[in-house]
Amino acid sequence: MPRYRIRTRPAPAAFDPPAKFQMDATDSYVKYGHRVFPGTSQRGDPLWTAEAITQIWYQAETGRIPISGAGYGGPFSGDGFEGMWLDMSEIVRPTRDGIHGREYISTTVTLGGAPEMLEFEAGGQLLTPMPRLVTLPLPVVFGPLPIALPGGGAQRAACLAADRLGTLCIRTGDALDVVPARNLALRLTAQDFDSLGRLAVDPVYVEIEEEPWALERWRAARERWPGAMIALRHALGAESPAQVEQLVRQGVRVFHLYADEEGRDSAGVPLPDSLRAVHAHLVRRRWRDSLSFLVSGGIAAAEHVPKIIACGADVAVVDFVLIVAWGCALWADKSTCQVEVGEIDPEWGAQRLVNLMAAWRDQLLEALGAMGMREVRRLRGEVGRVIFEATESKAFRRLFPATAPVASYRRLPEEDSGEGDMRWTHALLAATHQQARDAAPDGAQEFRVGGSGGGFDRVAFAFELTDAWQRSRPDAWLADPAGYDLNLPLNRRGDGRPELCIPLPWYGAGMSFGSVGLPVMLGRARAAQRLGTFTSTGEGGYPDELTPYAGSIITQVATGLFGVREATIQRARMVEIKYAQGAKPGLGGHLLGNKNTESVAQEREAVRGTSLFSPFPFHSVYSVEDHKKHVDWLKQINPQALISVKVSTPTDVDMVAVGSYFAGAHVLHLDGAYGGTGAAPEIAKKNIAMPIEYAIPKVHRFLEGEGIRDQLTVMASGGIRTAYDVAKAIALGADGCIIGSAELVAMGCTRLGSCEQGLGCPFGITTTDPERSKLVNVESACEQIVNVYTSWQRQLAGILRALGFGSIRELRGRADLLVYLE
Amino acid sequence: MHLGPERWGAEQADALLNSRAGLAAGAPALPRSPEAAEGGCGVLGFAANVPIAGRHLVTASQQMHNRGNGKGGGIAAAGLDPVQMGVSPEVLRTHYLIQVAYLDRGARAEVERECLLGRFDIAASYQVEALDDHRAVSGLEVRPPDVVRYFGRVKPEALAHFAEQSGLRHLPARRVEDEYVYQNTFRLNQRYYASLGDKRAFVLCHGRDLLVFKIVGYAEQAAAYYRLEDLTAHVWISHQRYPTKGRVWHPGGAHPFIGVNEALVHNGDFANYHRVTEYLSQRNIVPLFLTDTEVSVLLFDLWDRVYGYPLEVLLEALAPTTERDFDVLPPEKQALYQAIQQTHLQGSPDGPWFFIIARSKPDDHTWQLLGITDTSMLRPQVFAWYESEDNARIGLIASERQAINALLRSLAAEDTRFQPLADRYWVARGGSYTDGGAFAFTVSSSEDGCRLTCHDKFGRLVAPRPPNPGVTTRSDADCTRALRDSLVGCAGRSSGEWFADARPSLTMADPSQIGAWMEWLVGSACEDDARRSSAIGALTLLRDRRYDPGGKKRSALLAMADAALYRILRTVPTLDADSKSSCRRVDSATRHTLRAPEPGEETLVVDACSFAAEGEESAARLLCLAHQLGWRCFVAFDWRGGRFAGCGLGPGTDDVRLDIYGDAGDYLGSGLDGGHVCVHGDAQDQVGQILKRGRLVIHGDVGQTLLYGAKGGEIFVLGSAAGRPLINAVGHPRAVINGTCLDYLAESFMAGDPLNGGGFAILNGITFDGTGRLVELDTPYPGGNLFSLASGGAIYLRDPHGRVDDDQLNGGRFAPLSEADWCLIEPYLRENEALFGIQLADLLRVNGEAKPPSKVYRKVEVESLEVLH
Repeated sequence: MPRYRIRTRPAPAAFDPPAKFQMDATDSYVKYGHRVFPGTSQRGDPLWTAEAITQIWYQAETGRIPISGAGYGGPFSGDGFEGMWLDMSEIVRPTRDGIHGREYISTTVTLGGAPEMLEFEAGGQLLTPMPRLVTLPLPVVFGPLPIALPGGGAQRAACLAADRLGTLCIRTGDALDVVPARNLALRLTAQDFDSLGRLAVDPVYVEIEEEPWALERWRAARERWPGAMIALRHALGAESPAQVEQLVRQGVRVFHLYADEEGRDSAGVPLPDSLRAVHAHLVRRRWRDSLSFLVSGGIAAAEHVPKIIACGADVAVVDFVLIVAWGCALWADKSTCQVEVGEIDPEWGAQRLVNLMAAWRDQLLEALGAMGMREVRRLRGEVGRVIFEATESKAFRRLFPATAPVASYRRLPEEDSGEGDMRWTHALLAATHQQARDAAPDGAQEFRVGGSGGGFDRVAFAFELTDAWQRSRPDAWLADPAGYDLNLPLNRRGDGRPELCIPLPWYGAGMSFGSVGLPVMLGRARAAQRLGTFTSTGEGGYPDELTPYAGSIITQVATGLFGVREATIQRARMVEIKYAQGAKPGLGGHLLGNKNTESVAQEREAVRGTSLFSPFPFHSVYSVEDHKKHVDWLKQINPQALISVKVSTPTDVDMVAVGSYFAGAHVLHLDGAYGGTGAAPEIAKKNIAMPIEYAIPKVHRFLEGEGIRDQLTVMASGGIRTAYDVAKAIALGADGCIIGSAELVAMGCTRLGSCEQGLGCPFGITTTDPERSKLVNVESACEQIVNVYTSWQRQLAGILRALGFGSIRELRGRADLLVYLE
Repeated sequence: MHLGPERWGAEQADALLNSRAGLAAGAPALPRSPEAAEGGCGVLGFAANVPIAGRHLVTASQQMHNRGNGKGGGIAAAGLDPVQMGVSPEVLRTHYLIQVAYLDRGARAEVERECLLGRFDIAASYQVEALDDHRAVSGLEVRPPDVVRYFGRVKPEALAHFAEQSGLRHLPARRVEDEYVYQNTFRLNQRYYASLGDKRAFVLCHGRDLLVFKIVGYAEQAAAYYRLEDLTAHVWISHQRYPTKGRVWHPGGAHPFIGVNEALVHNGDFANYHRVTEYLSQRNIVPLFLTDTEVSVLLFDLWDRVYGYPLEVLLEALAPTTERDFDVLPPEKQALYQAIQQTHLQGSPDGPWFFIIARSKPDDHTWQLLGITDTSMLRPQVFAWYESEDNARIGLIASERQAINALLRSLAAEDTRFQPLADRYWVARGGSYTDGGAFAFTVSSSEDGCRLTCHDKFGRLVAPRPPNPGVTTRSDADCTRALRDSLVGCAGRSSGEWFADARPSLTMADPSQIGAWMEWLVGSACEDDARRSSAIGALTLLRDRRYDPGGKKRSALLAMADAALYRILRTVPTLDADSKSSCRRVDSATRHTLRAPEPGEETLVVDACSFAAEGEESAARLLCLAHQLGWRCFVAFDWRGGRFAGCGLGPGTDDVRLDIYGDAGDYLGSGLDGGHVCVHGDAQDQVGQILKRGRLVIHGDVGQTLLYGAKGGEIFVLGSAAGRPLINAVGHPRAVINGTCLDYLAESFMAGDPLNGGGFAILNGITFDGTGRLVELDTPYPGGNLFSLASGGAIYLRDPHGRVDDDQLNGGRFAPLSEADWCLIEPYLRENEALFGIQLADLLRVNGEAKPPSKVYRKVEVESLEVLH
């Protein structure tokens, strides 16, 4: 079969987004974690969030995947799909580079089951009769419209789209005469079954509604349409494993298992958990591989497809997604839902669905690529490549000797302008801007934590809950850093390479020339030089203008190898190998064409104006042995440099850590999923790899167990916003932190999340436009960073004083000093 | 069919699997992920029709030390010597060779009582000889387990009882006995290994005529500890493991893992481990050791022994053919493969993997070595074949070419039938229509002796030695003299001119004449710098050029040339010698004498054979130090797989010239920024990564990811590249590859406009026949991905028959070759001619007819993709 390609074409909205959505003029959709409605914290219904709805609109209109700058701004928590993250691969497991077909990843699925084995004649001829199959080029099927829509336009659009995509559109008996389809798929109730007349074409797929005596009709349907695949519908519930097994014993091989429209089974259990139970049961009973499961109920976003497949589905069936794609806003704007008001144009409606599926498929490819899989069929039931929040948080909470109610943590006053997101609240932005001016927090606004309801916002130092602290003024918590040892040694291997030590337990993260402009890079470099720490080039090369700061600059070697030369490796005191990035684990770099200006293209020696993709992974590193060779290579080029290994947080992050130690790394840099980015697909920011707070203790304890903890410097990044975050990360087991977004906030960033667009950043921070980047003044940028860091030093010293420690190194791994806020 | 006459099908397979219901029921829940991650490893295997002693494995394994971390090494051998085993040939063939590793010596009595003595008739048993103190093996930290070897058959009454109980009465007795052994081992392992906190014992192997040893250490340490140096076998495999779990004290997780009559080593990692265990568990198969390698061999055993699949079916189940490779299969093959995929795709491993399997088929009197790659070819692999004049044959598989050569070198040192270079080396294309990504070397023994053959996935015989229709040697002509005279009279002429003169004599000379000439050359070279240099020049061309070797084997000629060359280079005066020579020599022992060149000293000759593979003690590092001291011209010889040659010299090195003879290791010239590196032979993986400027010339093949992220420079490759050449290259690199590559050529190429200073690659798609004549490959590019997502640069394909089609492109398009294009590439093809002797006129000849360039070359240029904007 030639490669499967979906032809997209713009299909502009025939409606206005509901006016009450708080969307900026430059926003194409609501970004995760941002305020949805002015003046409220409302986020909509738990499943159909404003983000989900507007992103479907965007994809239906353009066929493109939603991409934005900055990090994920929402919570990393919830049940069902929200409490699952897809695993990614790095170093010890490789990924696939499937983005835009760089490497072929198959999304083809087959329905119809399989024999357990094949038999051959002595001559090698196949004897086994093969069951009839329905092959679909993507694992998504359109279900019948969940609500009646005026006229036949909607039904026609769905059928047309399915036809063009090569998938199925399941119709109910009353929607038979809409348009002929190549692959007729039917859902029949008892009533339909009796009243159905002669069909013009034989169906390829028929599903029998679950009602009393359904099995009889299932048998009757098999006789009536011997060429068709006959499935049975089954509502998921507590008894489903046994019930499905029962039906299997009666001969049913294809099931449409469904939850309710909010994604819960009849017992209220989220669809993923409910399905897993059925899948696991049938694996135990040795039946699963001969069955096919179509699954529906609350599948509302691209990421739900790989997630539900990993829980045991063969195919996801979508229903409400269709009408949302045509413009319905469901809960958000029912009153003016145009789809319900008038008949839609079938051609336009079909294109919207085709576009949406093209975007969903691209995102599925990204997820599969990140997991290192080349066949979606191999993902079915692969829970080994899923991280479940329930499991991780249980282990995490065991670290803390005590918990306390969330309310017992006294937050400082917070104003809310709607700026920022849940992680970087308005208060936190304002407090950071204030520290950038004053070099100390003033306590008028909350400056320690954000409002995400997860991560470091759910953890506090026990002393913060004491009466004394709760009653005192914020500036009483500061201390003179001179009295405390905040030094961070970077080389603990004793391998003869320089024993670099920085006076603060953090340094600057990599930001490429391209993601940010030159003044930002210079401001950061100058600040690093003044503070005696480091900043990293990121992956866009090493502009000549940075050379005067070479002693403070880490040369990053990332998967695109843009701008990496022996000269830039040899001039660095530390070389950072970027295997992965927390904001987009399992994906490479992505610089959109309009940010690839003349100077950026020159630095990267690429073609101006084209989007630049760094591959994922390093194509020279497909194993830990390759990794060692890679580290050795850089050591050969620069015999004096320290080597830092930047990785994100897959489930086997502990193995990655120990592997990196044995490969000869000095610094292990863990970049968690809250991390910032110049541009990343939304699906990657939110759904792949685990948050940093789970990864740090996992790595810390594993290295301790291996007896090598003190030979490796572990740095954490990806959502370290404040001095308190730094202290908490260290208490969880890191040696220090790496700071990215907070430096940009110090310069005035307000987390608009428009970093990916050419002229997008109105503050000139994440722009490469020569004019607009002049908005950033190098000297003041430096000053602002130095001020924020000075403030952090004083806070950190204060924390040490409160704990009775003299050195930051005493804090490492002391999770017992923290409490979990329930 | 290898099944034999008996009927074997679903009913029988089902019976076997059903008999394991109790095993599966008692097993723990399916693991979500493997216990320790391990990706990289060094794997090696060989099969020969003559018995090979274990000591030869040692040097080769040592060469791949850096692919393991000393936390797991293992060896398997099949086709053993009954005398060495202390049993009769009959017992060796008929009895199960069970080796139990006793981690806890005290467990032996219990294990024997519970699992062995009551159930097996033991023909012989003894503790395997080992060193008294494991610390006598350098670097071996963890004491290997005591190993006891038992030769046994299942007691008839135990077997009858088992068959009765398990419903296997109707199955052939040997099948039932195999299954009994399998289940007995499972129970033993579960009881004494998997289920306990303190691991006490496990079964290393239990097949017939198949041995396995595993330790916490390196593979060669296992050989040393268990005294396997003199043990002989027809098939050997070894494995260096790199688990990323720090404290490993027991060897259960080391490779090889066993089915029944096979042992498997693995380099790679599964992306779908849990899913594969689910697939297996539905067939009552559960893992105990929690590594993906164990799961791999369980799949193999299921498809081979239980389902009885022919090898081709098994291989297709393991590595399904997809994409273009599938599309070009004949319809009947597509139908078969589709059925296999439908049935087994979900049990097939995803991710990068490479397996080497040693199998014993005692009833057929054969032993087999298999090498199988995944369809993306993400792990390094090289196959090789050698056969001597007197029909000693050996087939080899390894992660690195240098390991193969190390093994052959070791063999050649003590057995004149062998020589240090193979006749042929090749890389498998995974899952493909070309070779199927898998090769089997089969040793079959009969009364006439042992034979070795090589087949691909489709059972096609791989003709190991292409017939040589060229000129035969003539012992009546005095070729020694002709060769000598040609060189003596060459003063003032280029070595190229000499070669043209000498070529007929090289073809006609018989080996002894060549030997005599080389003897003379070595003597003459000692006389002065000029003679040495012309001798080196001549031997280098002998090595670099493709020509008709007459009745001689090319590999033998090369081995002779290398030997002479190394002898000559070893006569170069050392750094502290009193000499007026412009060349100075340094080796590992004298590296502390390294100093700046004195006036008149030009060339530093590095004897690379005993340097470390990487790090401060490596030859690559020495080159950097010498460069810092002012040396500019280097000849490095007897290079044995050391990495990073030419790396770290830094920018501004335009005056550097490095010639490498031997086995260049990975990352050759990666980072080069001005110098000129020339490899007189094959190179391995990651050549020219981030190459900035300068020139790389490879007189052979190159491995994976040639020129990854390169910015510029010129690269000439005489042979082929493996996967992903030029990926993510920018700027203006210019490459000429005369062979082809496996797949993914120039992915995300971003090298500007080639007609305006940008980069390009020329792919000639040619090779040489046995007489050194240029021949076209079936297609210049067999891969399904060419120029994917590229936004700059171009590919110039020599494709006069238009065999590459649009479907292979994703982001590029074909364009006719313009005059400007030809003006751009012609100088590179002329240079190619000068370097490799590949005549431009020959390239422009199609079916014997001279054609204009535009009828021979096609251009693949950038097509503006929407995603790129």
